[in-house]
Parts: sequence; structure tokens; C-alpha cells
Amino acid sequence: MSRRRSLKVALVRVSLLTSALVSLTLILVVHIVVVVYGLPLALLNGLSLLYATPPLPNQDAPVGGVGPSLVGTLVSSGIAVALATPVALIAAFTMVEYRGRWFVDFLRVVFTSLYGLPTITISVIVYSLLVIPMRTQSLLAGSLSLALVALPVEISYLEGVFSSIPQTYREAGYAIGLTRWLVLRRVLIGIGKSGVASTVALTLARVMGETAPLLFTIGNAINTYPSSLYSLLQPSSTITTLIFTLSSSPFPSQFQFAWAASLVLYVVYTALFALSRMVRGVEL
Amino acid sequence: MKIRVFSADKFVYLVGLNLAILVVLFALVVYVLAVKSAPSILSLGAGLLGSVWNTDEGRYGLLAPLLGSVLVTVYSIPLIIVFSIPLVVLAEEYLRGLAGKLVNLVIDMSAGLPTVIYAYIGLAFMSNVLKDWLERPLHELLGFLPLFACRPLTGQNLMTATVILSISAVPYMAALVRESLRMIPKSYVEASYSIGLYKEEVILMKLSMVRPAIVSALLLSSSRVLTETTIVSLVAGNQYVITPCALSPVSTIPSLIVNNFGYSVMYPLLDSVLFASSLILFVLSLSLNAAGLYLNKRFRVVVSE
Amino acid sequence: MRCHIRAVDFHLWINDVEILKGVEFCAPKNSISVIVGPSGSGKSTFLKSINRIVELNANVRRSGDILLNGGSLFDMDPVDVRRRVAMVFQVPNPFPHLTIFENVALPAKVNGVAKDRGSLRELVKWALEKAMLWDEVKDKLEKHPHVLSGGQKQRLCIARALAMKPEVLLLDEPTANIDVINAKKIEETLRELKNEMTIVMVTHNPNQALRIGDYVNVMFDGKIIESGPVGDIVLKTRNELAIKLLSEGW
Repeated sequence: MSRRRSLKVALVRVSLLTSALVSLTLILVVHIVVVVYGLPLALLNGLSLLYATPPLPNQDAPVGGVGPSLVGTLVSSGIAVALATPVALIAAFTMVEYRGRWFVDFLRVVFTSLYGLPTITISVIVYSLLVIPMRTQSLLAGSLSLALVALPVEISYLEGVFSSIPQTYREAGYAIGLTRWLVLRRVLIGIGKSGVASTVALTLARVMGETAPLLFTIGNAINTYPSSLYSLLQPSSTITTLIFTLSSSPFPSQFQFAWAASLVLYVVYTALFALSRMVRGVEL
Repeated sequence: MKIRVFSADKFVYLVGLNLAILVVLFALVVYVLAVKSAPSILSLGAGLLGSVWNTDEGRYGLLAPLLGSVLVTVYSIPLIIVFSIPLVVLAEEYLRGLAGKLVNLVIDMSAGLPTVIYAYIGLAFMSNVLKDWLERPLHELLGFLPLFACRPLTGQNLMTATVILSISAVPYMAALVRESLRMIPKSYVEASYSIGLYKEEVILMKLSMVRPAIVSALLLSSSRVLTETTIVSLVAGNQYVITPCALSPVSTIPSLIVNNFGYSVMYPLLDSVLFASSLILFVLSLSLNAAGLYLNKRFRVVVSE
Repeated sequence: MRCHIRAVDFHLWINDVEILKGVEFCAPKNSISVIVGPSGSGKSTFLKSINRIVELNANVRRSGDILLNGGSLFDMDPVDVRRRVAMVFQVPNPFPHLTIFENVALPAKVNGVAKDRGSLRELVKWALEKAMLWDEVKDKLEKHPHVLSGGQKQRLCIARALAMKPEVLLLDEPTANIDVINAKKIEETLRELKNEMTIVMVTHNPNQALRIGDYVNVMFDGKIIESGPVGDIVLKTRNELAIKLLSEGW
């Protein structure tokens, strides 16, 4: 092989590998730092990290918990996904089933627009639509914001799941006399069970990590637990907004505590991610 | 071939209802954006694109945050390319078995990691590291260039924001590029080897085959970077300045909205201006996304033949 | 009789499954050696072992040897092997993102067969003429292969293989997916080419094997069960299985 060629090949290899290693390192740094800085605080607080309230400004030590915000995260994400999933399922099925008809193209335009909606824009829109009439920020408004975020994401995943199921199965379903609804339920969701479950888990993970849609809609109640159904109409918070608030705080105990909150969020996210992976692999 | 279901199918009603819900949502979104941003657009007109921001005098020029958002996105593009493509090549071509799977796992996990974590680490950890190890040296050594002419006082500036945003976008881009590489039919790969190419040459060949997919992925990633809120709010510095210097704190549209939304009741046109700016953001993001999705679809067609 | 390519007790395992179970093979110089056999007998795998493409799979083990001009293939740089032993695949696969000209020029450029533009152009013309495609594409060299028919694409792949000026040309069922007219053209091409190189071809069509082959090798279950010059095989073989495979086809 010519000298010039071997030089070129070697150069390509060296630069690819160096760049890749730097990149990998930078990404791993993020994971490592979250764990390394968050773990001491987690150990300091123990289990109370999960149910206590965040440290007050006058404390010196970052002792406290993320309780109320954790509940806020779980509730708002749960409601968001619960609302978005049925709509997404039918929308995805429509796109796959009625491909070529006029309303599918229209649907796709709507879908692309919602997909391209920046989360901060969603936040101000829901603020206008819900927070102002209700005269308060609320858990409900936050949940609906998240639902708007979840919807296009889920439609996109589910469309992938459904269109990867060979058409012959749908045809077979009709051939044995199933109605469209039953074909969706029994054939598509039946065959795509693990894909659908994995989608739900992934969407949950994604939605739990969102901050911007909640900034103006959910409020900043980091110390009070949502206690009843009525609390849906009251301000709340999520771990993400908590971290955001704490990181803007001038008080060291609160600022430092954000490491603990970040660790909790990281663990929750990782658990959901792992769940979505396990579910996808299992043949249900 | 369409299968016609001859019995009366109530399912159509469900489809129709669903469609209606989506259309209503979409209409609401458009309506709110249009109605709320209209006042400021109508009364300020081109003044919205001015460079002065003075809420007391009612002058709301969005040039600074717009420029900040655009610059941060544009500067992050080379970083994203340089760090994501080699990473994918490493995972897919050079690592075998467990190591490759692990790297891919890290990529997938990081792609969905909540951005507020990147933001906080950026603020609490990396901004100081970057300030001391990257930005101060750049200013000292290359300060004669307008790009590095200002002295970074804190680590919260355009450059730090670019770096953190790039790190957060790299896994997403890597995942997209990886999927497109995997779509290359094995036969082309074998053909490439069989004409006597070395591994690195085959890699370059594969990359040139998926070039449209890479562009598409870049557009989608840029859209994400453009609209990212938490990272820029914590790390970009939020100073209303227009400067060529990358080491200066800057303002971006998302951080503008976050910082000013609280005051929107106090100043007359402020909240309309904020809506207008989020409309601008929507239009930019939509264009990038639409272009990216369109290119991706065209790529899939080419690859499947 | 000198063997240009020779396999000596060659075994191959992919994912711990033994695909080639002791192949003994000889392709004499400047001849067309045909390998016939039912699907799953390992013909493609064997071919891909000769130009060392099979090693690109994850879990591959081998024992025994394959010799090129008497020297073991596995002692050489695989890229060098692939330059001297060219391959045409079963499903035509010209690179879609390169023009017709570039498809043929690339191997020559990369392997240093032609350096400057002038000699590159000449080489491309030569290769396309040999593949009997020049007249049909000479005015569309800057177009992409998707404008060509399946048969033309396959001839383009042959031209691409020829551009390396290889010693050996391997073809894996080259006319399996091609229409009859193009198939005939390809067979004609091969008959001419054998004067300049050694050809090893896998086919599932025993008529084609007997039509253009000089030597026939019958492969079954990972081994060559019968081999010899075409005339001898037809007249003299006693191997029942080989007779059955050759006459009934599959």
C-alpha cells in the first residue's frame, strides 16, 4: 500500500479514536459527577431525602429532602402520560392504517407542528389558557403542559412500533372478521405489546426530566405536599423545577442541596430507562 | 391494497374524535400565540428587532437574545459534529461485543437525560473548570482576536453555554447517526471491502452514504439546542449585550422569557413581547424540524432501494 | 495443472456452527471453475472465504488453508487479497451515491491501479467495454446507477470488479436475479475474461454450469463431493449424489 494511503488511513484512525475518547469522557463526566457529588448528600440525609422538605435558607447544612417535589413529579408525569397515551395510540394507528388518505397528511402536519413546539412556548401557552383563568399556577396546569410535550413524542414512537408490524398481520385480522378497533387492540397492540410498554416507559422518563413546560405553570411549592384531589388545582413543584429553583438560590445550603435533588432525579430516570429496556426485550 | 371493512365501523368515530382533539389543541396553540403576540408586533413593529431593551421606556428590542440563541446554536454545530460522529464510529466499528454495547447504552441513556442536570452540573461544576482551563487561557493567548477579546469574569458565558449544550446534544445526535449507519444494507458494506478498501476507508464510505441523514440529524439536534431553556438560563450569563466576544455573558430567547415572565404584569407590552419571542422560537424550531424530518424521509427512501 | 486458487481441508465455523467441513478445491489458471450445489451447502460462504469477506462477521473460526498461487491467503494483508481476488455479488449492488463513472473508478483509484485522470478514464472505458456495458452507458457516466436496469447494474458491478485488474474473479450466482438476455451477455463476458484471469463462479443452475464451466465442483453439506473437468464429470462420475444434483437441478 502506498505511503500516502497508509498515512491517510492512520490519520483517520487516530483522529477518529481521539475525538471519540474525548467525547466519551465528557459524557461520562456528567454521569460520574452527579453520582460523586450527590452520594455524600444522599448518605447524609438517608431515606429522609425522599420524604422531607428542602433545606431552608437559614440552614448551614444541605439537610432536607425532595418529598413534595417527588410527589409532584410522579403525579404530573403520570397524569400527562395517562392523557397522552390513548390519543397517541389512536393517532399512530390512524397514520398506519389510513395511510394515503387526506386526513393522514393533515394529521402529519399537526403532528410535526406540535413536535416542533419548544417546551418554553408550551409553558407560556398553557399559562395563558389555564393559569390566568384559574388565577393560580397548579399541578393540573403543569400536568397538561407535560401532556402536550408527551403527545408528539409518543405518537412518533408508536408510529414506529406499529409500522414495523408487517401488514400481513393486519390483513389477517380483518380477514377473520375483526373490526378496526379490535385490530388495533388485539393485533397491533397485541403484537406490539412490548413496543407499546417500552414507549410508555420512555415517555414517562422523558416527561419526568422536563423543566421548561413547568416553569410558569406548576408554581414553586417546594415545601408542601399535594394532599388531596383538590391539590391538583394548587401550586406544586417537581424535582426538575426544584433543582432549577435551588440552583438560582444565593444560599449555600440550598445551592448545594441541588446535588442531592439531581441524584434523586438521576436515579428515577435511570430506573425508568432500565425498565423501558427490559420491557422491550421481553417477548410478551 | 386497502382492506375494506364492510360492516358499519364505529371506530371511525373514534378516529374522528381523536383527530378533532388534536386539531383543537393545535388551533388553541396557534390562537394563543397569535392573539398574545399581536399587540407587541403591531405596536412595536420592527422595533422588536432592535438592540435596546428598556422595560421602563417600553423599548423591547429582541436582537440581543435572538443573536445569542442563534450564535449558541451555530457555534455548537461544529462541536456536535466533531464529538458525535467519531463516537458512533467507535461504538459501531471499533468496539466489539460488550464494550460496544456499553458505549451504546451510555449514548442512549445520556440522550434522554434531563437537561436540568446538565444545566446544574454546568453551573456548579463545569463553569469554573471551563473558566480556568479553557476560557482564561484563550483570552490570554488569543485575546487579540475579537472572538476572545473580553475577559471572562465568571464561567457563565456564551462559550460555556455552547460547550454544555453540545455535550447534552452529542448523545442525541450520535443515536440518530447510529440508526442511519445501521440502515446501510450489508451488501454495500461487503462490496466496499471487496474492492480492497481499508477499514477506515470503508468507514468514510459509509459516512458519505449517510450524509443526508447526518444533515437531517444535525438539523434536529440544532432545533433542540435552539430551544433548550434550563442550560442557557443557568449558564449563559443573561446579560443583555451584543458583542462579538464569545467569552461574554449573553442573553438568549428562552432565558429572556424565563427571567422576564415574572415582571410581565408590571409592564404594559412585556408579556406580549415575550409571546412574540416564543413565537419566533417556534417558527425557527419548526423550520429546522421540518427540514430535518423531510431529509430523513428522503434518506430512508434512497437506502431502501 | 497449476491451481491458481487451492483450498486444503478448509473448515469454517460461524457462531460455532460448522459451515465448511473440509473443502478440497482447485481452480486452475485461466479457466472457469463452477461450484454447484443446493442452497445451504456453503457455496457462498466458501466464496466469501476466498476473498476474506466472511471474516467480517463477528464469530468466525477456521482451520485448514486456502492458497493463492501457492501462498496462504491468510498470511497476506486482507486488503491485498481483496485487490487481487475480486467479487461480484448475487444481488447487484453498485454504490447508489456514486455516479456510474465513479463506481468503476473508485477501486482503481484507491488501489493505485490508475493514478491520473487520463489513465483513469481509459481504465473505466476498458472495464465497461469488457463488461459489455460501455455502449449503453457511455453517455450517462455522470448519472447514478438507479437509472440502470438490474442486468445493467450487474454488468456495472462486473466492470467495478475488473477495474482492479484482479487475478481472480469470484462470482456468486451472478445471473440469479437477472433477465435472460443480460444473463447471456454476462456469460459471454465471462468466457472472454477467462483468458486474462481465473474465474470461480457459484451457480444454482446446472445447465449454466455445464454450459460455461471448464471445471465443475459439486458442493454438498460443506464439502466438495465431486470435481473435475466438465466433460469428465458428465460422462464418468460414479458419485450418485453428484449425478442427482447435476441432472435434476434443485
